[in-house]
Amino acid sequence: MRAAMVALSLVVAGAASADEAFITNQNGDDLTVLDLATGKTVATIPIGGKPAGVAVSADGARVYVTSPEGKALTVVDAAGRTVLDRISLEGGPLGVAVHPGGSPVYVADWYAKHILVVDPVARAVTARVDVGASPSGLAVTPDGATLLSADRDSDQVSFVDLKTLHRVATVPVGQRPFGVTIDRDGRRAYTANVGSNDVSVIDIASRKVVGVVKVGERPYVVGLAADRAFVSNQYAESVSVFDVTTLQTLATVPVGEYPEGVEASADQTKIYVANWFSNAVSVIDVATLKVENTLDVGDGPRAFGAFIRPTPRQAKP
Amino acid sequence: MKFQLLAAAAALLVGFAGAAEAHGPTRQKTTQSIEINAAPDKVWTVIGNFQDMSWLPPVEKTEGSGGNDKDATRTLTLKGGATVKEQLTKYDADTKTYAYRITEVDVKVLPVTNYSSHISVKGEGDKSTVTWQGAFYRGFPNNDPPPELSDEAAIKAVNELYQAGLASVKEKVEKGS
Repeated sequence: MRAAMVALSLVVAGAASADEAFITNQNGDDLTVLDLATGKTVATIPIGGKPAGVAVSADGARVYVTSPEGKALTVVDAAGRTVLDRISLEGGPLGVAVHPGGSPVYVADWYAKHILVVDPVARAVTARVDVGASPSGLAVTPDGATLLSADRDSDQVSFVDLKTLHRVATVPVGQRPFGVTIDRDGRRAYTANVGSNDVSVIDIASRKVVGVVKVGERPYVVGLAADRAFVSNQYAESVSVFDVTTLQTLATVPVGEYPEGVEASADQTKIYVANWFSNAVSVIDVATLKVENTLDVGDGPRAFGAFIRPTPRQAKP
Repeated sequence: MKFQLLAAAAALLVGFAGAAEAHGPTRQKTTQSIEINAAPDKVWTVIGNFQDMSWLPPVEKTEGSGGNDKDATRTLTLKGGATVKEQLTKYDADTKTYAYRITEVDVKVLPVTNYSSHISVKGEGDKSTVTWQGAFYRGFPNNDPPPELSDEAAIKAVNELYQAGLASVKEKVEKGS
């Protein structure tokens, strides 16, 4: 009876979160594709050039991977699990985001003070947008109007108008913001500030910081699910969880060593955390705030960006 | 003396690898371990004091403050005069593990930046394993590093340092010194 109930709940859980994760393994030079329903690796795709950044397109068809050492943007066919193209870029391509319409792709140059705008079909850099120093994390608002860049060494977030491709504002945040995450409504953005061990909460419409939340040491990025923010603390080997309305800390969840990339499942019931030193992804239950599973991946997972792909079954129920 | 056991005059250039300073795009990692024929408690008496790194061959002197409390600091003076400044970030005598960070080192002494490390002792009876792991970026913060400040150079230097340190601990403990 008990076994049957467990089996039933597994089936239900599987159906509820049938996503896939595309994990960039920087030291291993490849991309692990995890089936999140089973927790199994279903493909390992060679990338090269020390892959770090990742961005799944809104329709789930493409995965864009940056290789800062190899100076390239790799285009992956998500369903086919094959490399479609490798576009040579300049500098140190790191943070990456895709326009909600599927193109262009925005790539932060870690060594320069600009963002590259890449047309993945024409295989061309079509523009360079000036921002602050060492742009790191990138995120586009859901309406496709604005790009946010965490300018790590300028302690600010740049707002870029995606029609004109000009920076329209800078918002000072904590020290050394690395990841930047926009909520599903496009209302707020969150930066993980590596230097000041906190998260800046930005109101996007007014372009103002409306809150600062202390987290653990060396925060990397913020993941959002069900009105909760999950912050990976690299040195603390933990994920700080806070309520996005009250900004009160709810829990500190121990995970693996050097937790980095964080993202929620499409249904917002699970949070996935890539642990760089441990070569594993921690699965946190959003309701209980407990690690419920740990999945093996390749060497040195960073998964910096949007790495979860809702499967077609879930995208079109 | 360089940290990686090479002879060198005290470096003239001032290097600084402060917290979260600019660094390359690819963090490196390494794990080295050694088995020691002694009880974990005995091994811990040799390496468990953050204020005494005399078990690491290039270290001539350890000076610091804060004992084994979190945020304690130490300055290692190496043979030849170069110094390395470090900070304790975690310490747990029960599990015989601690973690620390380099807060200041010249890349000519150790070609790394943003270096952090864990060391632990595990074992049963009269057998122990010491595991030392490090995470760090190469010495050169930009693209296209010169060979002596490349990812490979960083990993080689740290591996050699760890291997020499672990061999020294084993020798000290097994000789009972």
